[in-house]
Amino acid sequence: MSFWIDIKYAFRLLMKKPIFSITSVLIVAIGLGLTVYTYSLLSQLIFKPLTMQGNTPLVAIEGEFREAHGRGQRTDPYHLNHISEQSRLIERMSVYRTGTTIISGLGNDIGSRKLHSSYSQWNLFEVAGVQPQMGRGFSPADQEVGAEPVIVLSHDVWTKYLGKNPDIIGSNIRVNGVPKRVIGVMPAGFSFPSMAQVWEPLLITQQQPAVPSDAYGDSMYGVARLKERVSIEQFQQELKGLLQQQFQSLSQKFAWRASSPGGYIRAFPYKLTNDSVANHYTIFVAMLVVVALILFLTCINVGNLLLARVNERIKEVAIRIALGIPKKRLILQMLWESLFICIIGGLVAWLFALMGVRVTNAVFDQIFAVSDARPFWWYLSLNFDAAMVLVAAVVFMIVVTGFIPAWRALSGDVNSVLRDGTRGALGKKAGRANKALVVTEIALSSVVLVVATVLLYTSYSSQNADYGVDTENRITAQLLLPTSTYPRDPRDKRNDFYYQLKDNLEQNSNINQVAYFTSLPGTGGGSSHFEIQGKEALVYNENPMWNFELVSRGAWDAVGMEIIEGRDFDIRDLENGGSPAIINESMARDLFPNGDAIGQRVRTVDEGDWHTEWRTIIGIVSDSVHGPTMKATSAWHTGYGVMDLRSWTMEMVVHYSGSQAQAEAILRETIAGMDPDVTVHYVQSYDKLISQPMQLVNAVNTIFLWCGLVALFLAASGIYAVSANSITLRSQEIATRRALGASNSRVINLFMKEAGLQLMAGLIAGICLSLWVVNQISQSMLIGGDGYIIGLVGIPVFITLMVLTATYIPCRKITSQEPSEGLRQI
Amino acid sequence: MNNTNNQKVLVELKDLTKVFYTDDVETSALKNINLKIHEGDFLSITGPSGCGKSTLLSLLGLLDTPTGGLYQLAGHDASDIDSDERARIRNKEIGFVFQSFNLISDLTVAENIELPLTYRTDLSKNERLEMVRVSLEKVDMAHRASHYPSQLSGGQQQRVAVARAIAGKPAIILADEPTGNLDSKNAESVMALLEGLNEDGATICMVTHDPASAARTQRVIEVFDGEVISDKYNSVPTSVAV
Repeated sequence: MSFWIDIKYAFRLLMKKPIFSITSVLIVAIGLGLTVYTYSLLSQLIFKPLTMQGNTPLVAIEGEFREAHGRGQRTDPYHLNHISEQSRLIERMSVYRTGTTIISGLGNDIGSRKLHSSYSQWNLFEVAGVQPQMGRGFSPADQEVGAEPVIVLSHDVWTKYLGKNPDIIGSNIRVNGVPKRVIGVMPAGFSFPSMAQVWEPLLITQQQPAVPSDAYGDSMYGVARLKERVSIEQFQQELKGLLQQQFQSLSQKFAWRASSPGGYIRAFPYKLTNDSVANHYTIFVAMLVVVALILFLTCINVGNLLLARVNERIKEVAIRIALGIPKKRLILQMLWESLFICIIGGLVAWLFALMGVRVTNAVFDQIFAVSDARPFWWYLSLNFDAAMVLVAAVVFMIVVTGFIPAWRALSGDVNSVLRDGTRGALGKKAGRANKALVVTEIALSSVVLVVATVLLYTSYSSQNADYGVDTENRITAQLLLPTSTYPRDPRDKRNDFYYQLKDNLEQNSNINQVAYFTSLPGTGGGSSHFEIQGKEALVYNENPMWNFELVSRGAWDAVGMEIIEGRDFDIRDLENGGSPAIINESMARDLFPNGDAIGQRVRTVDEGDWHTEWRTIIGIVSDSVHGPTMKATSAWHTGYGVMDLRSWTMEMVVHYSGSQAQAEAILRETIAGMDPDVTVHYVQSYDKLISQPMQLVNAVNTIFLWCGLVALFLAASGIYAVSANSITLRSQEIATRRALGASNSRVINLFMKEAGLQLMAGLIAGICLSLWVVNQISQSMLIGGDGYIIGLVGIPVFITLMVLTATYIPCRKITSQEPSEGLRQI
Repeated sequence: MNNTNNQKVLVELKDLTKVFYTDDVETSALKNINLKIHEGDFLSITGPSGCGKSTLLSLLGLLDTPTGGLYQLAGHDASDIDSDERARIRNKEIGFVFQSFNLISDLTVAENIELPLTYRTDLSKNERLEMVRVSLEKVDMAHRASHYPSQLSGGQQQRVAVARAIAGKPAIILADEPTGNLDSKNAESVMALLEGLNEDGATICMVTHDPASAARTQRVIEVFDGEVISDKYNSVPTSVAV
């Protein structure tokens, strides 16, 4: 019954001060909402192991020897098979590779479609623990040489392109021009590994080579499910042992694999196969730290608001103590208010988090709209785990925010409060606690704001960086030429098509130039070592690095680049049997400082004495950057070869006049007119192409921006509340000082000086912590000097102004009163 | 010291009024107060709770501004001056003794006494320390100079407060119920201290509702409902235990 009275009393107090109540609930809701949202985002995208329809985590097994090229490096299946056979810690393992496939002959108006495909060992679905909803999965017989070609479709493909045809199982569809029998349709949402839309079995001879191979075409990925109670670290250890064992039996040609710097094959949680996630792992960890700090800030703020409340009610508390209230009940009374605030705040937080999840899913839709390459686990939802996190956070908050006022209520000098009628002058302990609160608020908000500012600035700079190309009025696209008509070897038909398409397009008055690049400037990246003839290093990795791309003849104008010295590729290069190369200006300047780059011969080198042919430098082209400027793997030194001599997959760029839609229509019509089996994909503006690799980081930075704004709001309101509360509690002292002759400015100076000392302590702690966090982040992205200056100088200046203002306002307010008012309150 | 009208007028109030405004309610705390305090006076202001005696003391101490009337302190008009000038006058010309001592808990006894002196620009550190030492000796608290207020009894704290009030050699000491929070023994000790100071020439104005304390002063001003209803001199101040 007495509890009920206390509850009603606490509720009445909250209703009596609606602004206080709403502010407190809002602060709690923002802090908890951000916590729940971030937990859901990070756990679902990164930290929670991918288990699919199994109980144990799936791990990726990939090549590690080309670290500079990021994640997604295939490796020799010779080793993958050894791991699969010998490992005692994995339940199952499958090898696979991914690619794109054109399906046609769909028997409707859709025509042909380019789809993400998976080519795998028969047991891929067994590893995932998911079987087709219609038909069957692969069997070992499907991978035998001479077996009937079969394919499994995703639910999405079956729905979108085949009209949910119930008789699809057993029918044939054309895959890259070859008829294949559909044997199964997977359940809705299944697109393992990552983003597959169709699955085909690899031949047993491809999966299980008798001898090792360095050929990229033979390489594959591995995916394994760990056994119960096996950690990834244990498996990594086992993997190392298994590989060392096998490396000893390799011939001299492959012996380099044993001593490959950093390792040859690595295993890691499957969700880290996404390059963006892996590259920015530390940013996600930083985000987790930042959100934890915000939660802490929230607790301090709400605790402080409640502390201010109890200071106002200290006389009432003293009377209750005098009347003999048991300690437990007094603590409970103090807790009721925080209980109400935190529970209501928690409910609102769930709504905030739900909104965040919806917005994020919409952002992901937008990011992957063109490429359709969204990993299947990138669909956020608020699940049971998130609810548990919210409950735990609410309980934590109730304890923290309820404890502070309860401590204040119990630590007050009841006698003096009752005898003097004072509202409780600030005791030493309370004074120290207030100072600690302010210092903590300053330190925490500095960290959040510095990190958010540095990241936002870096992202902004990257988006607005000069990539050395003109992107205005340019569209980019990818062509998919069916290998049945346009084989990669010999490549003449492919090149003929590319140049014919270029000629046809450029005849249109709206099309200015057309060019082909393996990766257009602003995209790609990833560097390899190369050696200069006559200046070869003893060890391959002591040579300089470059990024090597292919371009069509006469490509530069189309992207606004220009030949600075020497000449462009031309028909002579195709006839003389040489291998010409053009390098960019920075590379020429840095590596050939004597200005003698033209005529020099260079070649790409790698482990195991692997190298390309010697390439003769025939020209120097203006600088461009490959990859986002903030990415550590982006390349500033690039060499170019001519497309005609290699059959790599090309991206095209079209410089147009008029509207983008018109240019796209011309492109599609021209291609369809030349060969309806050739498909064009990922048609988009050049600007959009450049911004794509950064979209995930931008999305994360936007969350950081929100974190920063929330931290700013919490810090500003918190510091003001703490300062105001501290000054109010010292109103007696202030009035006394003024009675003794202290001028208003002297009183204000006193508090400003105290605030300055707290500010210094908070900023020192905050900046040290910020430097550590930024240092961690800088390992996965390049932070410009300006970013450091803005973050580490601008933010402290801003916080200084904020703290001094937050101190000045309540000081000014109290000194604008007559001293007698302050003395009367005593 | 006995009062004589030959003494110089230190404080002069002419038609002093103070009105408080709370929402739409107007409360006249003081109405047309006319009063003169001479150098060397030891006067008490008495009256029931809420009669306006503390308000009068606040106005005398420049802790508040009057709504109307004239206030002259040592021949200077103090009724319409800015807050900095009022602070300067409070610091140099007025010493305060409060009912609840109002010592700053983070400062030692010596630092509390030194505090108003630090607001002056014309005193060196040595001069301030000397003034602190002298005033501590006057109130017999020199042995407690380095203690904090919380380590002292109520009577000792009030003695320190008196020392702080006299340290700067003010023209007038304003005491607001100086014995209100003390037991009889400590109250007697503080009253004796004030009497001693007055005998040494200090002008003291004390608010009290205790008739016994009032009887120990030379002059008793009785305030009722914001007005001075009597202003009389005790022929022979009685030294009785309070």
